[in-house]
Amino acid sequence: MPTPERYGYATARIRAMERRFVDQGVLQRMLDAEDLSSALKVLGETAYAPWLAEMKNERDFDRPISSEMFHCYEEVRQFVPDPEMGQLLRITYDFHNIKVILKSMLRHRRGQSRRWDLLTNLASRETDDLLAAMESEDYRLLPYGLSGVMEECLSVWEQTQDIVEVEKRLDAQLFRALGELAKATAFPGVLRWFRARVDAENIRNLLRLRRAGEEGVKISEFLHEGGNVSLERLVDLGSEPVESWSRVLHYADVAPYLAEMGEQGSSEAMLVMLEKALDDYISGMLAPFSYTPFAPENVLRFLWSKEIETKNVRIVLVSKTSGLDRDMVRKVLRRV
Amino acid sequence: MAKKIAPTRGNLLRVLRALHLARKGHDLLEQKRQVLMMELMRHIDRARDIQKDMAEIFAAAYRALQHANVSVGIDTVQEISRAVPESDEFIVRLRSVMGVDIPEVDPIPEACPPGYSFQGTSGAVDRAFLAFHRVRVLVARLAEVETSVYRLAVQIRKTHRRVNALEKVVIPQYGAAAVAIGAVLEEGDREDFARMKISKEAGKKGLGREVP
Repeated sequence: MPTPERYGYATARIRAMERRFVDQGVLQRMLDAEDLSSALKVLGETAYAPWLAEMKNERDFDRPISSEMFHCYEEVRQFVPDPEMGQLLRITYDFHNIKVILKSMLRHRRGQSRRWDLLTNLASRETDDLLAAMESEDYRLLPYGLSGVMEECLSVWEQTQDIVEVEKRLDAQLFRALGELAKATAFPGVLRWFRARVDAENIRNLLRLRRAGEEGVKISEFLHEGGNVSLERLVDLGSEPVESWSRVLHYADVAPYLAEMGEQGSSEAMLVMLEKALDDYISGMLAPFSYTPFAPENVLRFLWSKEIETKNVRIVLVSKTSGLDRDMVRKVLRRV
Repeated sequence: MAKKIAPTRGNLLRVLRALHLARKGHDLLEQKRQVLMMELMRHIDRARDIQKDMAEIFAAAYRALQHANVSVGIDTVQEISRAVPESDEFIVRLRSVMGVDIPEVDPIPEACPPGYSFQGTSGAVDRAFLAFHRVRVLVARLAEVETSVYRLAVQIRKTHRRVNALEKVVIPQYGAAAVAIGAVLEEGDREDFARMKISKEAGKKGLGREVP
């Protein structure tokens, strides 16, 4: 049974690492920069500076962002007492890699090219190991309970040729594996984070499915178990007007964030604001742990904040390449 | 240069028949041209509307794509795009208008289920996906209209050329030939008539001399 006391050193290291966060002022300066090169110059004053030299050209800014994230994950992995804590956020990258490999294999069968360049090194498992397991069709070597799911996925693909059905099964397994990892840590804050994450994902999916005109059974196929809000309640919520969601879910922690969303005019603005609000909800849920000196959840809070920070940096840099309106971009920036 | 036709009654009848046929053909081609022109104008109006929509819908789609890039990153958008199945739902039927095959693309449903899973994607990606689906619907309509306009225009040009050829060359030629043959035949008739008259007169005079 892990004990929070072991996290004294880790928390201290994290406090030091938090000082390297890109703060709102820097983001603002990047946003106000004239062009992409000026924004990158501002980014060069931050912890991202060592990685900027890796860029092949100005538009290759995903590389330093990934490198900084990878550096953080690796550093945290070295001092965190429970490896599961580091894996909680990296597992999504493992599943991303699995999807890329699987789609590449399916494309290759149709005579199309493989896209290994879309693989990420942020995953907790070596990409080569995943690749070897997939190419040798020895699915027992796959982590996170993917061995059984992969065979099911391939069988579904053979029958339907529908990649969405395949991805749905992988997403369901991702949340099952994430739940198991959270349970393995046995820290209440981590379990709360997992439940909040599931709720956020479910509510986001619900609104997106509603906009796509889906109903009932179809909606339930995209929802995941393990959140604070039951699946039945979520499916019922699908027929309610969005403005009343916060009232229906008044008992859940997410309700105040949904109330903000109800004030938006169009459904498009509503969805954009909902995604931001749900990220803020999870950040807000983790924020109180910063006042508990040795809370293991601080590791999770730091890594989550780092993910949000890289998201913000990416949003600003992509907006610079596309020449998007600053006010629009300012609205979608997340709170770190 | 007009072909020399022997001025016979047989040829005159043949030329008159050809002239009649050419005039009938001219009328029919003229009608065909008018019908094709009406069809063309209808398609041009549609094409104008679609091209106007095209600019707006393409701009909206690219704007949505930019937002999707901002929301989840360019690499992720690329990765998602690979999950979207290739479209093979275009059904083209052919309708004949005055012998011109006009393509008609069966309407593509406006609603489109997402071609990717929701984990790791965002509402901005949904918007971009739907916006490009609208582009696909519009491109199908535009292809239908532009192909129709092209085929109609080609056929109208051909018909116009044929009408002109009949109007300016064939009908005048046959007309002239008929007139010429008619004139020659009338001339011949007149000569025959005169010759008969003379011989009749000569016959009358000769009889008078022989009979005392």
